[in-house]
Amino acid sequence: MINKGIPIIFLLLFTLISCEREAKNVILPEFRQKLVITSFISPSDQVSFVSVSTNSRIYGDLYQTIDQGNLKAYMSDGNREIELAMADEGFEFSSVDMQVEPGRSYELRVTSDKGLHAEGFCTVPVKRNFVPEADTAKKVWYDTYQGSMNLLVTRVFLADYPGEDNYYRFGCKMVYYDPEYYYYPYITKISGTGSDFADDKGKDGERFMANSYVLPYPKYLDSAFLIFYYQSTDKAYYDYHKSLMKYSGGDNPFTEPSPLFSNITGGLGIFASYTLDSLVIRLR
Amino acid sequence: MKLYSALKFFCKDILVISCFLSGLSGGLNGQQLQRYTISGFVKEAGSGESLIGVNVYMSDRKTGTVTNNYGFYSLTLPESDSVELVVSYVGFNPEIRKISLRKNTELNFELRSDVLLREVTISADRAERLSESARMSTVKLQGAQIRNIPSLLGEKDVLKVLQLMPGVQKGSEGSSGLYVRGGGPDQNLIILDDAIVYNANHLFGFFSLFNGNALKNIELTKGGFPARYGGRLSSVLEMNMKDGNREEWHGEGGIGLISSNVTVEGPLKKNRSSILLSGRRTYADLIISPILKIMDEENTGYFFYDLNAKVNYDFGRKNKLYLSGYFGKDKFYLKYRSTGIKENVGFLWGNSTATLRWNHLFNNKLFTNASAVFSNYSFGIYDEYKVVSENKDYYAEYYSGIRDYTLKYDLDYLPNPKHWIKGGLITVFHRFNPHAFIEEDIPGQISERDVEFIHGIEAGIYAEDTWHPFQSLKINAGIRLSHFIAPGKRYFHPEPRLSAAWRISNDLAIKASYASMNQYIHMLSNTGISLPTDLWVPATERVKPQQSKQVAVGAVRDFPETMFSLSVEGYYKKMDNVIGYREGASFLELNEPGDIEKTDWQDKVTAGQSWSYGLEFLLQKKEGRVTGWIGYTLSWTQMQFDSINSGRKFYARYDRRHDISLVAFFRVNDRINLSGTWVYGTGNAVTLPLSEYYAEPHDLLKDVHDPYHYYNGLSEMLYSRTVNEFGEKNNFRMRSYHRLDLGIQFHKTKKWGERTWEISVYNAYNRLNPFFYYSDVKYDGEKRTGVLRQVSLFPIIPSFTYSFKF
Repeated sequence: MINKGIPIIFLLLFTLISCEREAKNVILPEFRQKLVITSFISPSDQVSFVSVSTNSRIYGDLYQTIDQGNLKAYMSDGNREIELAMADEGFEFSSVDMQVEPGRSYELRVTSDKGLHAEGFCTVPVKRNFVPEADTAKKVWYDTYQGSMNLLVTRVFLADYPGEDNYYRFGCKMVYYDPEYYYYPYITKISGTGSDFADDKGKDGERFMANSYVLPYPKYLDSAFLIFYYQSTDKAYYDYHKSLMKYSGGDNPFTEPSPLFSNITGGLGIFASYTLDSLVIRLR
Repeated sequence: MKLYSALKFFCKDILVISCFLSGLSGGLNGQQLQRYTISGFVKEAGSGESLIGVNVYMSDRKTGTVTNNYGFYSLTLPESDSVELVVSYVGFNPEIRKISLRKNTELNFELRSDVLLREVTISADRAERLSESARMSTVKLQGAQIRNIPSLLGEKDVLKVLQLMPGVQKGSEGSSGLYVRGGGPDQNLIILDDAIVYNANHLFGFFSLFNGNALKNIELTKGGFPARYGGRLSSVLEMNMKDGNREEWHGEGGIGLISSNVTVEGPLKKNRSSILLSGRRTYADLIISPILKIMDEENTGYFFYDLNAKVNYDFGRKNKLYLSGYFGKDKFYLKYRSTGIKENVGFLWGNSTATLRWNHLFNNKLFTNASAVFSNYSFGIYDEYKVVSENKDYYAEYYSGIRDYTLKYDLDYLPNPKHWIKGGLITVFHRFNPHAFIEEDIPGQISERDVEFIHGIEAGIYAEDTWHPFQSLKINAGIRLSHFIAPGKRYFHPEPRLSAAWRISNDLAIKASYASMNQYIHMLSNTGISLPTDLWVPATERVKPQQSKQVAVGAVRDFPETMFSLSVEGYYKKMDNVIGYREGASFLELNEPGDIEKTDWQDKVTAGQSWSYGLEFLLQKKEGRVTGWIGYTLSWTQMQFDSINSGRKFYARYDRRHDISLVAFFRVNDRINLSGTWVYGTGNAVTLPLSEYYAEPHDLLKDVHDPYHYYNGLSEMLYSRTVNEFGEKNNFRMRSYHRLDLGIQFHKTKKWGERTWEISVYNAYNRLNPFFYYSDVKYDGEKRTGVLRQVSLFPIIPSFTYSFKF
């Protein structure tokens, strides 16, 4: 019930006294077609994708077709530029065409014969050793209605690289064998007790807990592993995902709209990079 | 006794400075004659109520003074056989006395209200002329003005009347928040009998806390702040409650559509002590509740009430004691009953203040006041869930608020008519409670308790002098030293203040002012309207105090023959370290109150700067059968934050290029009054989406498909979705706002007193002003059209009020 919160009161008030109608005599914002780019590149990818689409109008005739024209995309690493191959909903390039290297900057350019043009720029983070470590502990959890339960708490620590701004993203999956039910390894996503995104603000050069994972103790399993992924990302990658998480479209009159982060010049979307590492933790 | 000695010591220091200043001016003028002091109090005849800001003027010497907040005045003059004193005040008949000044003289005045006299004699010399005052950017209101202005649902509202003044704007439809010269509602210092009032509104800002019947004096300062005021950037709204009638028992009240109020006042000991009690309560819940019960529905209700109380005791001429308080609450509740389940959910918020003041007259030139003040604002949510059959209980409570303990000491020293020296010190102990969460799932056993208190000490010391070096020039110069002890940080800032008025002719003055201000507490709210969830937090090491510097210049012209006065002011205000909310930050995270502590509020705000400048015109007529004013403001307000709008400047939401208000009262005869207001304002600047597109996150584990995904607490909402493209922040102007309100009052004298029927119409021509917009899709057969929808709040609303006075 508490979830209904203050909006309920407002809803009541508005229902009683407000009136709603189509706004007339206002000059609506003019629609400008833009290319929307989404691309995350990494030295660990054999093939990198660049998704390209276009924005669409929200005022006026919504069935009006929006043609983005014939597209071409180019990637440059500062020394040479390649034209990207067409792929499903965008373009792709392989590491053979152009190697994505840590510490290097890349420029992505997409043009259309309709005169649309968008470009993005990113620098792949330098590969660092973040010295990952994990510890596990057994914990008894008591619930009023379900009784006690054995849990396994796994905490993962990283050492931030000093003297530079670092941005992180974490992910985790569990791989386990349960002979009673499966004849093959089963893989499941595990979300942490903390955020999957972090920066090193206030902990530059320090060792910090990246995330922790709480699971039922796998005593009936034959074997179980946690695979902890940690990405070192550029700031744009971090800002884009943080803004996507807290995105608010401006329909709520009581909060300011929060636009989605974009680093695409002349268009919308994101062109960002990361490096990837993993740590395998044997649980049983 | 120690306190008394300390106060004496403090007074002595101030006196040394003031003696120096007065000696200087005396020396300059070569005054050799023996000087004597005329001093006393000015009160209202019939009630003994002290009158604030009364003009005490010597017509033959073209000099004078005004009464202070307790009705005290003092004039020290060279000896004379004949001195003619004219004591005048708007709405009262002037009193003229001739005395021989051969010794220090105590002279009290009792002014009679015009209303009692029936026959109105108009005299341009009665009231203080605007051109005579050194101060500028000040608006004064009296209870009668508030009572006569038509209002929403007949609820008289001080803050909404102030919104009709130039330089003061409302935020959105119906809101009682004040936006003064480009500042936000958090930048207004609202003081009721020396107590700071936080979140000063009922019903989400639609009604203010202040009950006009209990108020004596309302003064809003928008700029040129004297050194006695500090702690906020944009305005000071000082209100004083009535003392209560000292001569006989009286009462007044009103019955309106949504609330009723009653005020009683009278002597506890005739001419020595009096009491005033005033209360107001809404009653929609009392009417709806029984109906819902019959319908066996969820019982939902809302009400607010407030109570003002004041007692005073006069120990003689030298000592007076006042105890006053305000207590108000808003409550929204929902009671749900079904078989075996009971649930009570509610929101509860309110203010309470208490002020103990001691006036002491050291001598006929030195008046002091010591105050001890308590002020509290709290907001709470509770949820009580009971499964009767299984004996299961769940209880959760969330609350936030601010509590202040204040000690304050002020003195007025009037060595001669050329100087009025004020000095004082204040210490406020703030206890901030940004959040507290308590949860019980077994009766009596708290399963989670998270209560946070932050403390801060704000202190200030000031000295100011209103100096009249020669007849045509008045200067108010002062300095305030402000100090704040924040968690992990101390701040100290000197705040110089200066204002001057130069009378070019008898009726024309030009004025200028400069004020530097610091604000050590911040209000967190990103809703654009006043909600009880708005949080007050202190400046910290990371979030620095807000600062402003304001200059204003203006001219005032009185037209005594026609009883008009015209003031024109231009201002420029620069504010630094202004708080803004990071894009996407929300303080309405009440879905899971327990999660609030996981995010530090300091991470949600960002500091920036703001510029505001404009021109204000005010043409007013205070006396006669037709009174009222025309106000016009031409203004610009821009803001800049590094992390908002890509660091580019943008217009503030409440940037309003044109703001016009017309207010008129017409006294048809003794029984009928007509009133009307018309307001116009440029639309608010808001951010509208330009287009939409599909946004995808990056997901390394997107190929892992399983139904048993373990979520451990924090599941982040990261998924592909359609998002809006926004251009520049506040890139769109809402439609302009305008509205006409009309009112008519029928007064009749009865055996027992007087009754008034008031009929008023809010939004008389039913203008549907926009409250907010949102984009939507309109379907017409096969056709889909994107449209902008407008939500409006108040259509034409008539109301009736019955009020009485005995």
